[in-house]
Amino acid sequence: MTAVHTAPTGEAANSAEPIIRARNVSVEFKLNRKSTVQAVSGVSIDVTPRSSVGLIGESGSGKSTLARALLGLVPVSSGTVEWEGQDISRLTAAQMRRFRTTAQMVFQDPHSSLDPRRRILTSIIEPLTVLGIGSKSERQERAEQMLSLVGLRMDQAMRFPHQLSGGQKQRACIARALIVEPKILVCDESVAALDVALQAEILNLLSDLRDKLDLALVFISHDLSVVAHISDRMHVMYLGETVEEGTTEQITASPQHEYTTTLLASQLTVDGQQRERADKAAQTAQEARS
Amino acid sequence: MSDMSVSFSDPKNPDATIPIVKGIDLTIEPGEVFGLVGESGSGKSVTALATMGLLDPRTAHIDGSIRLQGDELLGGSTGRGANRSLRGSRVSMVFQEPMTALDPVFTIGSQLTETLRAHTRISAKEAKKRSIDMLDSVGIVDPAARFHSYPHELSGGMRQRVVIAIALLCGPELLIADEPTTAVDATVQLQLLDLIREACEATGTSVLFITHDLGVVSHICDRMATMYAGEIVETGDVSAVLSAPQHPYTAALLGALPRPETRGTTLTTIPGRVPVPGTEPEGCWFADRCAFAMDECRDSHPPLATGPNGSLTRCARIDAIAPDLASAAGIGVPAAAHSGGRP
Repeated sequence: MTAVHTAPTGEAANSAEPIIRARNVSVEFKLNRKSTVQAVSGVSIDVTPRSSVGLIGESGSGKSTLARALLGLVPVSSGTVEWEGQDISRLTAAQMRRFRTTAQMVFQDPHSSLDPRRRILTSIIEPLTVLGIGSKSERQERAEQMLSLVGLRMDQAMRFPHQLSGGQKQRACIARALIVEPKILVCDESVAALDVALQAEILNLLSDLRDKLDLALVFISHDLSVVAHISDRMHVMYLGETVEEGTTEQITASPQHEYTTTLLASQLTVDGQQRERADKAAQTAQEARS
Repeated sequence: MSDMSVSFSDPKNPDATIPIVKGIDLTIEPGEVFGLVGESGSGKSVTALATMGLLDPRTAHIDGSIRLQGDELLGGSTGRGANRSLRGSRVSMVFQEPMTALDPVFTIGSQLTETLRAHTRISAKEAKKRSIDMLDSVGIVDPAARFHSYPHELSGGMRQRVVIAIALLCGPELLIADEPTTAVDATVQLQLLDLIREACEATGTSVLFITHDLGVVSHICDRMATMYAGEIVETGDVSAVLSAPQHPYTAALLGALPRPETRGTTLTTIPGRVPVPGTEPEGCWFADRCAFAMDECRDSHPPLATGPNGSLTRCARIDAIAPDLASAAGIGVPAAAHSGGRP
């Protein structure tokens, strides 16, 4: 593979100390006794406060695995993920609980990530219950704050998941993630299951919350236009490696890696030249293959 | 394919019927790719299922007429058996999720030949040959070997190619594609769209393409219709509709798309939801969510009428608001709109 094209860092995200610093992270999964598959190989990534990092790549490129590794949800096979200067694989149980309040995740399908037999409110409060934070009335109060933050009403929170629309459920998932007051929110394809109008709603909500709560966002998607909309920096992943990283402007305006170019050309937009542009991309892809 | 109008209702309890799709008219010319766009719950998929005759006759009442090359698809005279022989041979469908559309316990080869032999009287050998040819033409490498593969051995893009191959095997006159590319990556999506377009151009098959992605519509379709709350609110040539939408709903859908110019800004959203079937407000159904609604919009339900650029629109105020719609859709907005950025 070619070297990673790293953008000149300049004033590098306000030179803030990263909350999570990952260095040469690789993740391997055992397929059977003999063979393993390398899902992520040697990726370095920094998540600084209030930044938003986009991870983009096709399915199987290791975006989700990398995000899970950042949160300590899958063990890394080599490299380190550091949080406050500590390797997260060596945290004590108490530290781990504190780490869990730092980083939270919102998944792709809001329906399957909410317990169908619990009221929305119960699901939203659950992280506090599990982590043993606050008294019962404090939890209730926090939940109410979160609900108003994401734009849900109390009567909606008293319903069950099947009684809410996809957008409302995704709001509930975001409320649940935010209730522990994390510094990092990882969104794994969080808008992929929603249609355009709802997608715009959730994207607005996320960038709003980032400004209000000083959140850092790690945004994973295979949709370049979505990632470009919300991220300051992007990592383009292909076959488990970062093939290109830089600011969103750099990557969308002057992609350095061939894969990024293909990805940019495959985006379907509604402008007039779209078809010609796509045809050209198809042509170059064909030539590259032969 | 001639004049097709569907109107159908769906009973929740035996007595009351709830209209889901309300008297839509659309004509798809031979060899044309027609896009049907709308939010979830706007009735797109139900329209497709009605056309395929896949709705349960015990719960769904379909009125009006759907005609394929002059042959009526609805009505008791033809009966279910006739419908069944039509399905798969003259009208076929590609669904969103290729893994659920294919049977996991049979090889793709047996699923291809099954379709072919159900509709045509040919030998097993001939069926196999034609299936392999079809796999080849949808761009599957080494089709003879893949013929014996099971669905789980293929990637998502390959599976969807197989589904398209099955749909096209009998040379249908109409292919209904219900969000066939939402489950795949951008690069694969582009290949699949081009494949559908090319395959249908080659055989003269018409396509009814259902999606909520206007980028997809712009790429593959010739004409399009926007559906809202079970009726068509705008229809016309794709280039005309997307460059100058004539209905506030289409404009709002366009405006909600993230694009390079909107980076760091707040995206336009559509407040509220699609009205629950049976509870549509008086007058224009979109009025409550429309940024341009006036009191007069709530008085009477607007008919489909020709708008300034030749497309049909169901908006009473189109002449007054046409220029504003373009900017609401984000068309012609310069990249200077970087104001709402973070401090």
